[in-house]
Amino acid sequence: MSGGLLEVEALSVAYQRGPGPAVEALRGVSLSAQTGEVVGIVGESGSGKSTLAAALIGLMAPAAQVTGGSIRLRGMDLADLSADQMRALRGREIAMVFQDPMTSFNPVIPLGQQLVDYQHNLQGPSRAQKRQRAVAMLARVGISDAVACMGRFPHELSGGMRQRAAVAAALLMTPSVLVADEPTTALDVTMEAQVLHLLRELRRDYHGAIIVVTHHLGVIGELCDRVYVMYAGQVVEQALVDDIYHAPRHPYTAALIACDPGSLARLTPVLPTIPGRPPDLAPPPKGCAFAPRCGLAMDLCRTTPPPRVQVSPTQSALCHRVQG
Amino acid sequence: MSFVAELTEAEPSPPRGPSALRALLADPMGLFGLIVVAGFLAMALLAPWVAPYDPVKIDVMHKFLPPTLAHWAGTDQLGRDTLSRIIWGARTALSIALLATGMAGVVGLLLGMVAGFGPRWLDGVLVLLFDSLSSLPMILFALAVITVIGPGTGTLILVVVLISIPGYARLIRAQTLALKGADYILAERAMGASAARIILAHLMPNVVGPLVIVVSMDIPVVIMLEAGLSYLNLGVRPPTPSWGNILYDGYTSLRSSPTIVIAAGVPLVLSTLGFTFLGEGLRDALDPTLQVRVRR
Amino acid sequence: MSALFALQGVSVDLPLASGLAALLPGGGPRLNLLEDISLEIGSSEIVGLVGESGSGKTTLARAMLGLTPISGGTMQFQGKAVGPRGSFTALRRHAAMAFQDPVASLSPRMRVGALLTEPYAIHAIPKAERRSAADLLAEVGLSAQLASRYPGELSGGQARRVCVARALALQPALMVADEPTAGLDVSVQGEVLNLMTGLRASLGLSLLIISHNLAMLRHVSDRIAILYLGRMVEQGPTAAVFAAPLHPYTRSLIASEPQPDPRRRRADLAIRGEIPSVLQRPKGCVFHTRCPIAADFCATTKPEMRQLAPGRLVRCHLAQLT
Repeated sequence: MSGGLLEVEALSVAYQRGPGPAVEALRGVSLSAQTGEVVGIVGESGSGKSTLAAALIGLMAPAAQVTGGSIRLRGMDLADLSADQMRALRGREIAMVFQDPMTSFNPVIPLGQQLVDYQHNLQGPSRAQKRQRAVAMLARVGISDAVACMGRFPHELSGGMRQRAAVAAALLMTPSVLVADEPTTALDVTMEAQVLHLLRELRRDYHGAIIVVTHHLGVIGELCDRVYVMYAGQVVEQALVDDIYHAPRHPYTAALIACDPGSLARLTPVLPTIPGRPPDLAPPPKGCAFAPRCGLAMDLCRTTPPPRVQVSPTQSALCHRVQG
Repeated sequence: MSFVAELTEAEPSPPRGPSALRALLADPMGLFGLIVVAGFLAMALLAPWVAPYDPVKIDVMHKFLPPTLAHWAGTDQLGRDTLSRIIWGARTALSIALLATGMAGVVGLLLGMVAGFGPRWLDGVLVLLFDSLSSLPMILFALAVITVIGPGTGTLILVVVLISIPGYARLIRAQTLALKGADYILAERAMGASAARIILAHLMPNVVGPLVIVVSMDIPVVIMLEAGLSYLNLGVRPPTPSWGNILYDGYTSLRSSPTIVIAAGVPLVLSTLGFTFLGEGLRDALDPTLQVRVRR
Repeated sequence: MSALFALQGVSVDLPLASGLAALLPGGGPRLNLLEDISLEIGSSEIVGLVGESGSGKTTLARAMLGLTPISGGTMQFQGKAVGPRGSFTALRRHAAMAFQDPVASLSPRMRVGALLTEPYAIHAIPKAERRSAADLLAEVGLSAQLASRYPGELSGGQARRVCVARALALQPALMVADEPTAGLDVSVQGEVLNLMTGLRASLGLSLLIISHNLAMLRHVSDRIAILYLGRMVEQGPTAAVFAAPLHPYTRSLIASEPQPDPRRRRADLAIRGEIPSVLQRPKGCVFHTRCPIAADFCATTKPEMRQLAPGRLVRCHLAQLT
């Protein structure tokens, strides 16, 4: 799929941690996002999903190096941009909502002022108009007393309200791509439901792409159109959300879904697990990264990197055992 | 962002302890401080063997000698070898400073832990005590005590101990209060550990770190205090050599021999710098948040 | 049949005054964290405790272990009173707690081996009955070489298992686990849970699992208790509560859980409004501000806990068995 809004092509990122081989956090990751769709990136610890989120907004750690591939926004390669150009891009084109609503805002500046500051990229509106936009956006994200909220400090709001304010802040910049990194992980169940509902509603009016990065399969199920499943720095499967859940082709995807207590149909007092641990990525394993933990692994899996098999126009899996 | 947590999830971090020492040695200021302090400690310990002459031996025939091969720093108004007096002065300075701060540190540690961990009424009483003690200006308090008890090494140590305890105790108390609600302290209580066990085995190792740093930063202050009081003839009694005494002697005989003042001033400056650098180096080396920078 | 642990009408207040005001009769202003909590945990029973922020679930766990004093009500462990009117010694010997942050609950400057055998030293267990650190580690599936490490050198999963191993050292009758799956990947959550629930079969251990993860508790617990803003709103056998929740909050909670199956995606919100702060607890029924079926008197009258069926308790004016 070319000509998309956001195209990540064979992106590889490595961290140099002291002497010895670098940690290859991302290995040839490709994904795309079109205007109007919600893309989910699901993975567990060590999958590289957070590195990917950081790479998208260009805020990776100083020790991280892009060792291959590209990120293109509307065809423009982000690596070609200077630091100033990247900074201009951030906010205007790509905005991010972080996991921890407490640290998303400056604790000593009132919320309203921060929301106005977030709009600094916009040339047209005056300061008063920016305030009005901020109030309208706060109301839009479901904060009841938006005007009063403008004068409050972040710590005076509850976690759910702060996260909604963070979504408002991101949207005020009218980005083309909104990246949400674990947007509901720090929230209570009922607050999580509200923020998910908000994101679901927003996509109706929002003219851009939303990328949700999470480890929570429930968030994926409730929100996303297409899903990329990550393991050990690679995309092991991508598909429409319905196929991911009802017809997963990669053994890891199937095992992951089977472990989620929310998807177990019958009562299972002994919960399923995937035995073992993700592999060390410094250096990464030669064959399939999931082979040591895979119930279907053959000798070939351990020695040769698996091919990406296109199962259907919308689904592909990185596995030797999958037939196209 | 959680990508750092992602990276370190599978692999535990390397052990601490030895790396703190390595970090200290890697820091040039800390290394300088360590060398200087080690040097003075050696001087103080080995004074009887290192000093060329007996520091109190009077030889009026050879008074006010300039620096010669026989007397590297010359002699003072009573013909005593200045270098030997300086070397023995190190013993005086360090023994007083280490003894005083050590005692104050131990008492401050215990009182601070008790105040922080014990019942609130006890905390209230102790804090009142600390506030009262620390509201007294240091020099005036010292002079007052000296007037009552009389000058001397013992008085000096007592004054330093009394003045230092509140600061140390408050530091330890703050650390204890912060750690009191820590999960691992709760876990120990949940297991039935006694207050004594919690304080000694679990609190102390975790609160003592900043205290060590503060104490080592205080040592040069005490050295200066001792020198100052000795200079005013209110500290160490002559003929015991003290850098302060020597400085005073040098000041009164400035026209006859300028070297004495310099000879007394140099170790004062060097020891102060050395201990201060060591203290700062220790602080940086023991600070886990700074370790990331050092380890690169 | 007496319960292993019984709470009756327990309440916990947090004193707010300090200094001289604390000397006032009654202790000055207090913040109520829990009120009228009654719960029984039987032998070899797994009870789930559910609540969101401000529910008081962690406070309850700490009160049960004597880490927070209770201000009212009674607690009994193995038939004997604990709390202000009794000592916690027996409880500390026979009940253990696994804290939410496993690395933080291990003393940072003690090695794992020393931490594991510390319970024996605390309770002066005779040498013959002590097990070695290596044995304890093996019981939770960890290698013996972890004994020489410091807690800061363990991964989250390893630390969690070390905490369980330490809790097991004294062969407790009851283990309280505070958010045992928090921060754990879904694919390894089962390891720690299966380890703990398996102890019910091997040791007859009772478990109190505190979690906001309803889906997990549904599979793992025998009975479930739901807290909201410091009040117990529903209690009952897990299967029955999930099949037919009686309290509107329980219903909202179950309906709010994000579903991984996209075909069962929610169209609408199950619950509106924010969780009120404990500093401004609603009067009357604490849930009435967000309740879909609240009546006028719900705002003024506090509901009592009612037993609608054997074992099924609910605190609501309007709840009925369907």
